[in-house]
Formats: sequence, C-alpha cells, structure tokens
Amino acid sequence: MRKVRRLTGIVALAASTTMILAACSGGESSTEETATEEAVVVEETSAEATEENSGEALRMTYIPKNLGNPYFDAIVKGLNETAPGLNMTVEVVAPAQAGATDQIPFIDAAIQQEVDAIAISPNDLDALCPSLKRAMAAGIWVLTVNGDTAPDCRDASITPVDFSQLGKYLVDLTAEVTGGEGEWAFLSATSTAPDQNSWLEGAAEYIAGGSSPAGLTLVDTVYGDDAPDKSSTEAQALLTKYPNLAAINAPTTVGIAAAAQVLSQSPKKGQIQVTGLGTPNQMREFIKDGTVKKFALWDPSLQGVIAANLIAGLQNGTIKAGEQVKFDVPGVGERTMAGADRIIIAGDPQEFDASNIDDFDF
Amino acid sequence: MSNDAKPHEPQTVPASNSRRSAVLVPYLPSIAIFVVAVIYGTVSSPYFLNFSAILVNSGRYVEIGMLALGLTLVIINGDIDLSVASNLAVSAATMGLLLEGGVPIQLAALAALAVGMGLGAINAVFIVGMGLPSLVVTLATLALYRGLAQIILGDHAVTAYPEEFIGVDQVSLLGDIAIVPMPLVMLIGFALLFGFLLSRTNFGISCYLTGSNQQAAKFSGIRIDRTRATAFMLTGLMAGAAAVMMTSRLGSTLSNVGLGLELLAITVVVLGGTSIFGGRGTVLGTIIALFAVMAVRESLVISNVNGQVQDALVGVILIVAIVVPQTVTRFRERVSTKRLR
Repeated sequence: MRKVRRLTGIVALAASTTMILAACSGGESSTEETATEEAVVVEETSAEATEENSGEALRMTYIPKNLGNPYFDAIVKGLNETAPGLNMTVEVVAPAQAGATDQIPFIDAAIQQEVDAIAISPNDLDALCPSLKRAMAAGIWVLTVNGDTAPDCRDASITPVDFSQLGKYLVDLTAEVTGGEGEWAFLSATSTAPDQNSWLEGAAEYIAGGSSPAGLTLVDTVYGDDAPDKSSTEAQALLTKYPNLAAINAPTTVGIAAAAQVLSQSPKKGQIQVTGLGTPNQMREFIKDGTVKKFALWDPSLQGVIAANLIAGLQNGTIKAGEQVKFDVPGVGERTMAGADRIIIAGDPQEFDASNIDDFDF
Repeated sequence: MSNDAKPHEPQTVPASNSRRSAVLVPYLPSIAIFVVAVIYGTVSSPYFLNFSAILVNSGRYVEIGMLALGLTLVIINGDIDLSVASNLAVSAATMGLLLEGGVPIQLAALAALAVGMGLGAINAVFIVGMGLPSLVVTLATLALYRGLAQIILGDHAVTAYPEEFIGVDQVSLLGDIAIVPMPLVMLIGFALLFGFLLSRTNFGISCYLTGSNQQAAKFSGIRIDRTRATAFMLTGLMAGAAAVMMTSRLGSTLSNVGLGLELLAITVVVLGGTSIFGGRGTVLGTIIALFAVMAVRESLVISNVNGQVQDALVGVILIVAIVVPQTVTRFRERVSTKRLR
C-alpha cells in the first residue's frame, strides 16, 4: 500500500512538474521557437541605461498581447526608434500567453513603478479596466495601441486603420481572392481579443446588411489563440470539416502564417485560398509558392511612432486629450484624435501580392 | 546523554534538541525563498518595497491561497485534486449565466458556492465511492470542468455585475486609516478556520491518519471515506468562493479564467511543507508558502522579467520545495542513527 502511494506521489510530482515546464514553454499556446526567440526577451532601449542621468526622461511601459509575436515586435521597433529623440525610455513587458487577465500583473507593476505612461495592446475589453482605471487615477497616461478596451479605461486609443471599416474590408478581400463565390471561414486570434472581435462584428453586420458579395457564405469562425500550433490545428480542422471550403481568412498574423503553412503542404494548395492580415516577411514565401494570392496589413511600427509622440505631447502639454484634436507627428504627418472615444487612426490598409511583396521589410 | 541511561533502561536518541528545530524544518524552504525574493526585489527595483501597492495587488494571490487551503486537506489525506481551477471556472461561469438570466447577485454568488461544492462532490464520488486514483480522476475532471465552463459561457464575457459587487479587493477593512484589503482579511479568516479544523477537530486527526496509512486508519475505526470526501467537497467549496472573489476583482466573467492556477496552488501547498505523499502538513505552512510565492512573482514582475521566465522559476521552486525537505529528513535520519552507535 505504501509503495502504491509512493508511486502515485512520484507520478503526481512528475505530472505537475511536466505540466509546469510545459506551461513555461507555452503548452497549448506555445510561442514560436524560431530565431525570434532571442529577440523575445524583455527589451530595453539603450536610453534606459541613462535613466539615472536624465532625471527628466519620460518612462513608458508598453504591454503587447503576448511575447514572441513579430507583429508586436514591429510596434516596439517604432517605439524604440522614436523614444530616444523625445527623451523617453520604453520598457516592454508581456505575459507568455495572450490570456484575458494575464496582462493585469504587468499593469499593476507599472503602476507600482510610477511610470509616466502605459501603452497596452489589450487582450480583453473589460477585464483590464480595474487596473487601467487605477493607473489613470494615479496620474499615469493610459493609451491602447492596436486594439481597444472600453473607452473610459484609457485616455486615448491608437488603431492601425479605421476599425469600423475593416470588417467589410476583410469580407471584400475574401471575395477578391475567391472570385466572389464559395464557403469561407474566419480563423481569428483569441476569443476575447477586442480588435479581432470588432472586425468580426463589422463583417457580420456587412453580411447581414445584404450588400456583401452574394456568392460568399461564411460558414464558421474558429480561434487559434494567436498560438502557432493551435492555429495550425484549427486550420486543419476547417479543411476536414468543410470539404467545399473556398477560403480561410485569418485576420491575425499568427493565424494567417499558420493557415498558409498548413495549406502549402496540403494537396488543396491553390484550391483553398488563404488571406487575411499578415506581415510581408512572414508571408513572402507563401506568395511566391502560390499558396496566397493577396493579403493585407499596415505598418505596425507607425503606431509606435505615433504613440511615443502622443505621450510626449500629452505630458508636456502641447497636446491636450479631447474630442477633436489634431496634432502633428514628425516624419509622419498630421493625425486626429477623433470622437467622444478619442480614437486616432494611424493609416490605411496596405495590400500585398506578388507584384509588391518584395518592397517591404517588416 | 546516552551515558546517563540506567542499565535497565533502553538507550534512546536524545530527542529534545532535534524535536524543537524539527518543527521549523518544513517552513524553512518557504521562508528562505521569501527572504531571497524580497532581497532580489529590493535590490533590482526601487519601487518594490511599496507596501500599500503590494497589499493592493494581493487580491489574485488570495484566490490561489483559498484553493491551496482546500488542497492542503486533500493532499494531507494522500489524495490530490488537479481540477480546482477548472472548478473555479465553472462556478464563475454559472454565476455569470444566472446573473444574465436575471437572478440577483447574492443568489448567483451562493449558486457559485453550491456548484463548486457539487463539483468537488463529483470528484469524491469517483475517487472515494468507486476507489479510482485521485490523480487520474481529477486529471479528467480538470479537462471536463474546463470544457463545461466553455459550454456554459461560450465565448462571451459577462460584465453586467452590479457596482456594489465589483472591487472587493479595493475595499479596506480599516478604511483610510490603514490599507487592509478585504481579500487578505478573508484569507486569514479562512486560514484560521482551516487551521482549527486540522489541528483541533477529530476531522483533522482523521486527515493526518488517513494520509499516513490508509489501511491502518480504516482498521482503527477512522471513517476514511467520509474524511476524504469531505476534503474534496471543502476544496470545491473554496473553489466556488475563489470564483466569487475573482469575479468581484475583475468585474467580469470569462470562460478561461484561472487557467493554470491549479499548478500554483499545488506548488504553494507542497512548498509549505505538506508532503505530497500524505500524512504531514499544516495550514500555517501553506500560508507562509503563499507569501513566498507572492514575493517571488511580485519581485519578478516589478523587475520587468517576462512571463516565461516567471513560469519557469515557479517550476524550479516546486522542485526545490520537494527535494529540500526530503534531503534534510534523510540527513537528519542519518545523523541520528549515527548517534545511536
């Protein structure tokens, strides 16, 4: 009896330890173990080292959805390029998984560290609000970047493109690559992602409104959780479940890369279209081998540049947060903080296909 | 001292000194980790020793602590319950669903407690009633309950909680005089309750005996079935209570709340000196270990260490928590047997 209990105990130990180690390497939603692994560690700008010297330096913490996503690395690049010139240091921290509440400890830590500004790409619309409101009450500027929370939880929001139009845009993009006919499915990010969810809603409204391409039928929406392996599994499942599938639209760079990978090795390559939002660097090989005809995105680093300038302006008073505020971003142009929700649109979508895929590097 | 033994008395190992220090041994790993973490936090960030901030942030650890209290009983019994976090998710999802259906929040919260206890009872039916190994059963219910939470709530979040209910972690017992967050007060209350149960009641004695040697306990007349089943149901009840607290703290309910929390809870219990093999452990140890884990995570996050390294370190702590007591026990045995010769 003792031996059995001892064995059970050892097995329990081994199981828990394995699970913990699996959890730390990501487990269900593992981060991509590619060359970007090196760059995944917390980044500090070289200006960070001079924090003690330049006592006036603005301190911003940026919290992307999770670690290891090249899309957010591009935003960080924009921040890092702009911050030194504005006497600002940027700390980048994130959870290992894009869970709805996983960013909360990092927001709380930023409040404890008495930073000047928090920029965040939120994993949830509401769950972060208690912490974000505390940050605002403590005098910290709160900016949502690339996605949004409920409007009263942040001072302003920077969206990469006009989100209210993106849902319709994604449906039309699917029509373009399929010739306007067939069944198609969304392969989204996490089920709570505010940005993707707003586009899915926009798409649903467009389809329900009756003016969307008549031959297209949206058959399913699945969630890859912004994890490469889960996204691949979901893409594979779509192929199996819907034998007449014409296209997969993945409005997330992790999802589209995974779906393209699955299809490029499948006999249905070229028959089932893959489209959505992807980075040119990740999608280049799939354009070249014919898996993907066309996809879209925008330059994420632009949001980093705008965010840094906006915070600097808000802090030194040259920009006042309000319902209709225009401000100038050096090197980019004029931007407007619009509406009661104070949303700033960074730019317009950019389409990529074989003709221009080599012109971009992000 | 053995020289003082009279000829007709058996030689005994001098016990007094070693027994006194032996009391502390189970708590040494947690205390050591706590101290190291605090030193690390203080050294690497000037913002670490901000006690009011630490207290404000303690809410999420209270939930882990509540799960760990129930688990302490279960593990002392020689069982294990991996389904606690999934239980929490189902309880929270049920509460959210009822609220959306128009049920007043007080009733919905009570329902969460009932659901939690009920799920614990289901575990007990399979483990105690049918005699299946607790590891396997709760591994299955871990997945089953998590899936159930997703079925109940789907992909949407419930956010329509009344203002009075949200933000229990912002409520301070002494108001503005001193920050004593309600969750911490409740945790101490629960800890005192569980500590009393374990050390001063027959139920507590049954737990230790059941965990040490189940067969011997059964033949001694201890009602091991009732003891084990009660532990599982209490753990379920605590999971329901933690669900209510977490919902109040977050102001919303999602189906994927508390993912992976069971690992942290078990880590806290084992780190606190409770033997994974059963028969030994205290509530005090669990609480000390909870503070140790809190110190580790808070010091890491305030130093801007990323999420993956934090997870890895918690894993290392679990291994240390198991290896050190075993090694120390074996060392002490060797030392005391040496003295006999």
